[in-house]
Amino acid sequence: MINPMSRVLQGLLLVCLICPSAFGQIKADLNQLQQKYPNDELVMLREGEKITITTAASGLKIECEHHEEYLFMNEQASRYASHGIRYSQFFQDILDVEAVTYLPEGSRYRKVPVKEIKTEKPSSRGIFFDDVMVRKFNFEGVKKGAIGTVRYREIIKDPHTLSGFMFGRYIPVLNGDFSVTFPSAVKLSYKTYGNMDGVTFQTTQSRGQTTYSWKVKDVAAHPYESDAPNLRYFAPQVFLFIEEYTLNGITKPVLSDEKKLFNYYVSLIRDVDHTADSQLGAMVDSLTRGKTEIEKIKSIYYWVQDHIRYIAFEDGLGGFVPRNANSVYQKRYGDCKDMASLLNSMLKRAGIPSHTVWIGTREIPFKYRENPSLGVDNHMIAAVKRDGQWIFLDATADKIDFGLPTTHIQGKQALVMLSEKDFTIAEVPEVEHTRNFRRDSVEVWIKDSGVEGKGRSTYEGLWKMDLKYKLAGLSDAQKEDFYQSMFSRGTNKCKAEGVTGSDLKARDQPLRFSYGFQVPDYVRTIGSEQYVNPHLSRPLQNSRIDDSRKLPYERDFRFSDDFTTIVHLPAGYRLTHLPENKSYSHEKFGFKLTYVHEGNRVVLKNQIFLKSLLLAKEDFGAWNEMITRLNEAYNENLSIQKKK
Amino acid sequence: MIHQPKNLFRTLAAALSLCCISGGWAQELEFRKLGLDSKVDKTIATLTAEEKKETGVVLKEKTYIEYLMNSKDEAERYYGAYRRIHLSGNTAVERFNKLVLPVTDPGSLLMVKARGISRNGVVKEVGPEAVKEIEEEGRRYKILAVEGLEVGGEVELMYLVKGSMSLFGAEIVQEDIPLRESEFHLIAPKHLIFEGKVYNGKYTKQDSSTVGEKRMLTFHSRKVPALLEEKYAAENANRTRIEYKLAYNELNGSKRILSWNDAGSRIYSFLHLGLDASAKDLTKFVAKEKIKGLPEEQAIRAVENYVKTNINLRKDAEDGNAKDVLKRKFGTQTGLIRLYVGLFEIMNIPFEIVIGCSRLEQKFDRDFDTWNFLDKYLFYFPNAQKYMDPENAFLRYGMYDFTLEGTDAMFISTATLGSMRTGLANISQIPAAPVEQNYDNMEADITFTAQADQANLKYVRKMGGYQAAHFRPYYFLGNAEQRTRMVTGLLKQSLKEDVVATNVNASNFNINSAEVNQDFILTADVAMKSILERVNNKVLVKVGELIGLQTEMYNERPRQHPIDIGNVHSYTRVIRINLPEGYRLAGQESLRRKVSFDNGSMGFVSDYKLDGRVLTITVEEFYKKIQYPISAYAEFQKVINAAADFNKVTLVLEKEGALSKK
Repeated sequence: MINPMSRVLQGLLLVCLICPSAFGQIKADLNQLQQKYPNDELVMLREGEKITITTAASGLKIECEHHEEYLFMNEQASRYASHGIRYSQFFQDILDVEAVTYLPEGSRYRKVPVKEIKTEKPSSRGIFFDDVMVRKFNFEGVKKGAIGTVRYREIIKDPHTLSGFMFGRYIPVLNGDFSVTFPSAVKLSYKTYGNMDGVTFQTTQSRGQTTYSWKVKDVAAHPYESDAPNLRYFAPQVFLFIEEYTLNGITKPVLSDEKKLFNYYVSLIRDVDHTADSQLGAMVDSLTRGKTEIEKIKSIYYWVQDHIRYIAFEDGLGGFVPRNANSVYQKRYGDCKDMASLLNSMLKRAGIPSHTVWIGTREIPFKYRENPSLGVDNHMIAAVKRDGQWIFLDATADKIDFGLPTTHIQGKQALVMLSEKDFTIAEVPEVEHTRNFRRDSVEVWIKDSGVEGKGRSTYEGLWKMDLKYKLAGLSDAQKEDFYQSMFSRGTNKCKAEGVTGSDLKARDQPLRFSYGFQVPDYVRTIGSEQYVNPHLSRPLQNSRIDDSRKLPYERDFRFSDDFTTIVHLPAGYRLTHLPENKSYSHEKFGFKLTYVHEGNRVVLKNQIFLKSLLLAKEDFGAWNEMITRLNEAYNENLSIQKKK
Repeated sequence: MIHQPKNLFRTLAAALSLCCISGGWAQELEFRKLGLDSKVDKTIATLTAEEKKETGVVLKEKTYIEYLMNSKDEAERYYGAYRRIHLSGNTAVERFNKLVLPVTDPGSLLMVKARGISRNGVVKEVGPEAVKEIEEEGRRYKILAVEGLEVGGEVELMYLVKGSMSLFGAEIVQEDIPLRESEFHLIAPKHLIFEGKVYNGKYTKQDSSTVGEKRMLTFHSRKVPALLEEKYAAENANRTRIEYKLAYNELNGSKRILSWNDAGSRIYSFLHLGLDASAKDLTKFVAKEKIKGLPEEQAIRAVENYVKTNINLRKDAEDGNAKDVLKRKFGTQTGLIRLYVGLFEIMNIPFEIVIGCSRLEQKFDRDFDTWNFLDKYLFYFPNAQKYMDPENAFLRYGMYDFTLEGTDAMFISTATLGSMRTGLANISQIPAAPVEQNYDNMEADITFTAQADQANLKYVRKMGGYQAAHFRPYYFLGNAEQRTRMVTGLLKQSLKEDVVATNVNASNFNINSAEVNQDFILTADVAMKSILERVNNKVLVKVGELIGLQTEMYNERPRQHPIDIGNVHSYTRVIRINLPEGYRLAGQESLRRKVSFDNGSMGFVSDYKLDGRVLTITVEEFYKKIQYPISAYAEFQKVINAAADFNKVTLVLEKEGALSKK
């Protein structure tokens, strides 16, 4: 009979012989990992989160133990030695941060604890002030083969903010583990997102506690490319929901579905009063007096766009509760929900029904049903309904016309508040390509060895908005430079002149420009023939997608372009060569280029369109073929000859 | 007015100069006496036609720096600022609706007020209750959101701060919006004599006066135009600004203080701090890394390669001494320099510490000894007469930050007095690199496909010096994927978007070896279609585009700033075209061009040679001087535009035997 104690002792002995240090399993096979991940300088040996939920007399306690291990793969190690743990002071507590560097020495590691961990209050991009703090430290003495570990405890103070885990990062993760343990008094569910094939799941029960655990191994680094959808679109994820919990005989609901999420949001904004005070009221009255309903809505929307600046205070509940409209009006600044609050108050004063809307921008992939948690949205706007259609009013985008959704909410679901008890989920459309158009029409005459011309450009829809943003904030001198490059035609010797444009501040009408230009040395004379390249504009000329690109390519808006060039043949000359028409067609994009010879003019028309916000990898080949064909067309010339 | 805080040595300077001060002056600050926070003028200014063109106008500005002795006989420095700005456009509203103040101690913000004044004179005020605090990289800031701003209205910003002690500094008067009127006052107890100097100051008048027991320097600026941005210009160095420093402390004698000599000895000690304590570790290190015993230049390179590869710059760490930085593998700028100093000392390599400033930001004025010019560091090795740049991880021995080229700087060498070693300061010039160092050359051997619809290039690119430094270090540090992307990007940018490159090979890219001083060579087989255009039976070869797309410089407005090229450099391109069988060449005369000026210090020269079926084109472009006066602008433009003109050059290949008409 084997003495069970001795087996335990033997086990202990074995463990001590194997582990080179008191911490046990810290080790890594650097060579093997370098071969496996040749393009990565940093690898996560382990990313672990263990959530424990308990009920105490005072309430629900949610605690998460974090454990991270990083392996520095080369001499550039010290570039990655700096580490920070970001958290929201209002919603989270971070305790017991322990960071250690393991420096390889021969076959062993020397343990160097991090002594200095500072707490700082950093600024966040795009936000004026919030409650985010960071615990900062540097791993000491890192070099090739060093391992940095960090452990800490996170207290999640509000069960609504419990999120989940993502299996995948921009660096390889060798071991990912995530678990949640909860008592029977807590009803917890989970949802998954994305391809969970590589993730193993297990449920265990022990002493009235249930544990869900997920594990993953050897996740390759997710590529990082510009103009690509967010990591959340690709990495598998799990979301946790505390549906309800029972404490002292009382059951409290938290989150589980869209309805519960809506109820929670309503509870946050319940006390926000949409009644305009005398000052705001007087302003709205004078703004809307004598106008039709649609004119009233536009006047209000445009007023908020023009007069309220974006300054975001997102500290604590300030990140969720809009400020009172009267206050926003006085201050002349606010964030997205403050502007929505102001819009709703102003519309209410003008007698127009409007609605509060929660929405996620395009960097968040989830539909409300897929992830009915705080992670599903990040933005608040207003909406009105006209002729059975929802029109979304996002005043944070101040260069957009009424009726157009901002680029970053196209195709997203909107959670629209109908009343305190009722909501609907509407879909924001993607603006059709025909609405976002750019038309340029140019006439040129041959003068000596160059060309001289005049042109007209028109911009509408999101193309117009895009241009307005580019022009905003430019000084007069900078604007001149911008117009010079925008209306430069033919070659880099072109001098644009006499640019006049319609009022940039005008709404609900296309943006129009007229301009003149001269391109010296544009015409080539060889013998008795002259050659003119009629492609004075070459849209998409340089828009090839790199062959090595891995991720889909995201665009801000669909568009259609129409470029017309009329070349006047000089008196006494005849056309001796007209290129052939060219085109390319795909369900998502295409072009059509035609040449027509009418009398003493040649009319070239180039129409290009893009009907999708996303080019998938399968589309790249076709797209590049289109660009190649366009460029081949751009290389073709007209030739003319003097009549005898 | 923009306060320009900089520089490691403020506390150092203070410690040096303010001992032995007596006298108790607990007086009221001059800035407070103005009472700007208690009264507000609600009238909105009327702008001139010129002023309306800008997004905003600074109507009035008052800045007070006042030194006071407190009850403990310690010197204190107070900074009071007031600005009133008219907001003509949204850009100005965006810019001035937030106030950011660098404030170190919690108690040091003594007054803050921001007022939005609407078009019809309604005032919204916020004060200290609205102030929030953030911290970035070890520095604390107080921030404030301003309420009530609108286009056509005005904003008033004012604050009074008890600043950290500093005995020199600069105030920038000119910015990118016009300024109507500005006053800068520097006030100190009578025995502290400050000096100020105005640079680019044709709008500024300087005055000094006594106010009771205080001495006051006043700088009055009027109608300062907006600073214009121009290409090839060092705008910031040309803007109106005031440099000031404490020159004498009469209670401490009549000797001039905070001089270049003081800086030399102080900085020398500061950077040698902790050397003794670090000696053992440094000695072990140079033995272990096999640096000990190497010839001088090799040793310098080995030290530099190690530090730049293995040790990281962290702005918010502790300074530490050489030993600490070596162990932790990171350090501040001071820590890293101490490490270099320690290593060179241990190996008995003679060196001088060089400190200067970027000529794009400030011109180092040897005649005004303010420590505000002591900003960027280099090491100078007198034996080899070469420099090393400790602050730039992408450059190696022999090369240094180009903004220091052609500037005056302080050189600190070691002086030995018995057993004591101290630093000796000397102002000298950091030379500009010779033009031979920085080149970007190309050779292309071109053949055509049978139908002449594609050009095949055997492409060789050779880069050296600064031109190589734009690419080589990044190539070295990149992984295989990144390298491919970099090369593709480079070829597309230097040739055309549709290039397809195969057999790509890069050599001499290890910047941690002797390769860094050799040509960085990139070779590839490149296929291109877009340089060929077809018409009937002719092929147009747009050979001018092979030098890369150039931008034309236009003459919209009269030139404001002198010219600054950046760094001297040259381009030599040799293009050999093997004419295809059955084609006749025309148009080659336009290949011969020459535009140069200033005795050939800058120019564009192209020429050709036709040897049977091989056309050889050479294009040279060179910029041998860093700076030119405004008067040279027209000529300068011609050279820049000559390259853009060359882009137009097209050769014609006509199929032989065919009729010339359709």
